[in-house]
Amino acid sequence: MCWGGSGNRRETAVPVTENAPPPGHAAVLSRRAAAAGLGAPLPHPGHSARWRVRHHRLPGSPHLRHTDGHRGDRRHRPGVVQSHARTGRSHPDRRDPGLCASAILHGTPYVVPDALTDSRTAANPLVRGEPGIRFYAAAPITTAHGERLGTVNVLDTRPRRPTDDQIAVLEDLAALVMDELELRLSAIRTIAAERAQRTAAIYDPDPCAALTNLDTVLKGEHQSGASRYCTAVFGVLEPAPDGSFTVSLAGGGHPPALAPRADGTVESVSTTGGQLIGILPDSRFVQATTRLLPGETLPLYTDGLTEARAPDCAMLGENGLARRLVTAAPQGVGELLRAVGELLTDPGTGVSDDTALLALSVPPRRTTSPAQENR
Amino acid sequence: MTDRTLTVTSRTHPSGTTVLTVTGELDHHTAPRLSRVLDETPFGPGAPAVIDLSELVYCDSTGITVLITAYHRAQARDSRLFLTGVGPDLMRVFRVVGLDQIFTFQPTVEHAANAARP
Repeated sequence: MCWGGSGNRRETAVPVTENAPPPGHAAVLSRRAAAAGLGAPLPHPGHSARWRVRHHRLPGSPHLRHTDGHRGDRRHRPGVVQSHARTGRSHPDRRDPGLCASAILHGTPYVVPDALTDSRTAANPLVRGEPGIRFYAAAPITTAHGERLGTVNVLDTRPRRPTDDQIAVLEDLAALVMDELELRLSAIRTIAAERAQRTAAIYDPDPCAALTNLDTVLKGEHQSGASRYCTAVFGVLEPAPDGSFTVSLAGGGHPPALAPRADGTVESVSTTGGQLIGILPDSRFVQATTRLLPGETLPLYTDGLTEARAPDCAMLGENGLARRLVTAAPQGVGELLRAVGELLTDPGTGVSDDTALLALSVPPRRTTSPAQENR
Repeated sequence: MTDRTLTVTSRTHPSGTTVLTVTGELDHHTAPRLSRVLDETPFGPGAPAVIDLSELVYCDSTGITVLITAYHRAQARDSRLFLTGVGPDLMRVFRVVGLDQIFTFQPTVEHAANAARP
């Protein structure tokens, strides 16, 4: 997140979060973005997968590694876990004729306890010749829309019969690979959305118009059954002669901004009613305006913060965050970031989702710099 | 095996409304199951549908995407779609992202079936 704009007259703030996956596309994003924590807190599926991976041994796997696609690093070794992913058009792995290709056809784990006696693999040159694979098990790397990108597989030179738990570990490893792919692609999309937003703002700095433009851009990118969206808050700052700033925010599916005031109260600058961007037929965006006096700070955040659940299952929510800010009574942006930062680092608060925080502050006295960014 | 559990059952209510009951966790891994059932759901002018979420314990952004897809499909085919049994936490998310303005909610399947009667 950062600042842009034209000179010091207007500046725009664009925290963009949460893209959802396009159907039939390899890329999706962090599954907990826009998470609705319902009922008791549930572990992040990725976390539970990691937990299991740490606590189980795979059949005969002294080595655990990812292959990186370089041919030289793809040597099959006894007891090796590897991941095969394909990009674009499928091209059979020359070193793995038929094994991964067969496994990828299965939406469920594919297990060959003894490759020499199994009709699916007995004729495979990697089984009949070097390195003499006898055991092969693969779990598909599957997108949210069911597209199988490749497999994470384990193989050995002697027959093996894996337990259900061990196969579950293999599935978890495949889920981890998918998670990593999603995270990277989500970062790329978020940056692209932010750039589109900035470009649009050059031509029309009206905050709601900026979100409408972004909405149009996202819909245009995915016209074929589009299901990709984001939430955003977009702001325009206008300086006043007394050193204060008028802040006009437009929100699309974004939680309200909370402004701690000099008198110790916290004002909610709510754009509630603004809808998700890029996925609804006639998205509506809502504008709210506030004033930031010299010395005041306006924190913007994503919902990972307010959807945090404490051990007693209570969700923090906007009210909880506001109470925290009232209690902390932060003097200046540094104290505010520290107070909110404690929420992110204190394990008792239950923040587990991706969370972004952007605080805008007006310097206490008029200086040469009209506004500063803190992150 | 893994902890990711979701079941989606489809039945026809005596009123003719299709009722999809979603039980468990609707997330990135399980959402395709609901998508598949929705693909087979006969949306149409005389074929209202209910998605009952009273047994849903978790829903992430992918789950929300599938619900929006259901909304789009119902709209495109001039079908009425109801969400029932939406808990307070999910409703809170719907309000934040403005989806409370597009979905039609009913407390129970029976209420929805009554509302769907011509």
